[in-house]
Amino acid sequence: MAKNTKKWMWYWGAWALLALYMASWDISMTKHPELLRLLGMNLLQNLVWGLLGLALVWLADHHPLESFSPREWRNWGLHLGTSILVAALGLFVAYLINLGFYADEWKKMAPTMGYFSRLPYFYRNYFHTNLLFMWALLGALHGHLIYRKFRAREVEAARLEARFAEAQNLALRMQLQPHFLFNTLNSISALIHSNPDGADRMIGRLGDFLRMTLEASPEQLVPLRKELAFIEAYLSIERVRFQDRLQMRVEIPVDLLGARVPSFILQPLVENALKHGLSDRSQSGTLIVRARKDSEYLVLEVQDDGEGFVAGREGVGLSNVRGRLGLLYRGRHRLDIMGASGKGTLVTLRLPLDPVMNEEAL
Amino acid sequence: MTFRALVVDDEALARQRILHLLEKEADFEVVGECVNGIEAVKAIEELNPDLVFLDIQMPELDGFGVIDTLGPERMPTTLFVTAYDQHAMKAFEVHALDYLLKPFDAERFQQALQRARRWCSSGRSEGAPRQDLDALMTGIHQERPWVDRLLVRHGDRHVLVRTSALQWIEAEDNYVRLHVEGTSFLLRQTMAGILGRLDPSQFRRIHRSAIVNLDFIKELQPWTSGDHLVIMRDGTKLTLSRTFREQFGEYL
Repeated sequence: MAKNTKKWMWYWGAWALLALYMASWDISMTKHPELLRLLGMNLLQNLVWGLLGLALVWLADHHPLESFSPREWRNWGLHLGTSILVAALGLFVAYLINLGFYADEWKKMAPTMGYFSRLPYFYRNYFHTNLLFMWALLGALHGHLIYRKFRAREVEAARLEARFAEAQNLALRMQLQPHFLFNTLNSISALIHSNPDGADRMIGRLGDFLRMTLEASPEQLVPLRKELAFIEAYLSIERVRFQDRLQMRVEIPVDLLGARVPSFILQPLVENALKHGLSDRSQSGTLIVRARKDSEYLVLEVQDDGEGFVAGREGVGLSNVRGRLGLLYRGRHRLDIMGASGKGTLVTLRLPLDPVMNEEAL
Repeated sequence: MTFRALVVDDEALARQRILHLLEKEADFEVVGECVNGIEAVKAIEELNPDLVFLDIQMPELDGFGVIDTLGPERMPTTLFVTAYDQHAMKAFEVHALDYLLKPFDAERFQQALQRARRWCSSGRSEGAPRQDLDALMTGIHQERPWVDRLLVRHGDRHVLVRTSALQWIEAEDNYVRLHVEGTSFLLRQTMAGILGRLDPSQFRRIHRSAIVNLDFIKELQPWTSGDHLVIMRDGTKLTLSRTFREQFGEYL
């Protein structure tokens, strides 16, 4: 509401200033000016124009001119017609006000000339100026609208940018999972004594994993091949940690390896599957990562045979994945999570395949 | 004097690491290894060890769940082991408890053992200072107030009850009876005590002697003198007494 009050203060303030300006003009044109009478008349005239101008305010609010495109000719016509009408009507009322303020002098002249004898002169002198005022008003109103739209867009852009940065930040933190890192180091320190070769291998894998994390391309989309290599480095370490408790299968057709997917999109899904499908229970678990093509879409599936996802219990990882997908694909994707109690969870991700699907084609 | 130690961790390599370091200590004997919290509870009851190496993050029942189930007073001297858990670490610092951060070296391990030796030997004489697990658990419950599973004894077995499957709870003398999918378990706990451990957005007290899981309520019917009848999805009828009616302010 405060915004509206401000708008109307500007509106009536502008008319009041115009009244003062016109009064000063009249005063400078008259030999012995009667200040109060001239000021009162101009204020009243401008009040009337201000009231008639409300039609233009309504027009700008409800049928704003948005482009110079010929398709908008009706709207331009409406604005032109209304402004002419408002200017003409305003001038007529202003003439009547003039009559009222100088009634005594008119009484002397009227019997010979008639009350409306000066009207043509009045229109010839003032109509174009008056029409210009109305156009200035329309211009100011549209300027205000454009400014508001511009500000709203700026705020929206800033908001999007912030969300994007947040998603990126979260993604980074997910990759450098401290829990994973420290547990892996602990496994290595056990292996050093019992199985030096195994420790060696584990250090190599951890190196691969960290390198891929640090090399995280700033570009948002990477070939599926790269994402898969990252998952494999991650899982090869987890396999040592969980030993025979983790079975995994990757079923991805070779021709889909070049498909572009958001970087690090699979890792949180796989991590979730491990967490709920495996670390949360003592028996062994199987993890399956699948990819297939469904017309225009790439379908990625991560399946575990754990306790089954409970609806409404989404963790930070999943909501981050949702956030990033939303920003990247703007609703052209789908993320479905299906869980059956005791039978496991299936996460299905449908992403549009870009027209440039294979990086080889680039 | 030999101390009997229990090693609890779900990762074989992590257990192996502790076993390896303990081999060099003549006064420690490993009496058992456990891969999760349920096994740990059983082993502590059966083997009565002097010291337990307790991993915090474990499947099914985590380290704190073990302490909750047994009660701090029945815990042996406890050496916590964790890879990364900011909340737990903060609580350990506050209560001056020793803990091992993975990965740890032999020197750090021996330091922790030295402290553990002191706690173990003082624990054997009556009235000696004990590790203050009580205060720690109070702190932990403030950090993560609600549990999502409870371990209850059923005959000679231990059963893990998910709170999401818990339909309603009935007071029974010094116990509470947990009604779960057609069967029920007794747990030594007060109504206020168990209510404090359950997520208040899911569990509400409806009567001096009843707590319900909102997910299992089918309907609420007005009854006599301001009381309401609570009809559960399995047909069980419970009373919502006037005194507890405000708990349902948003529904009634």
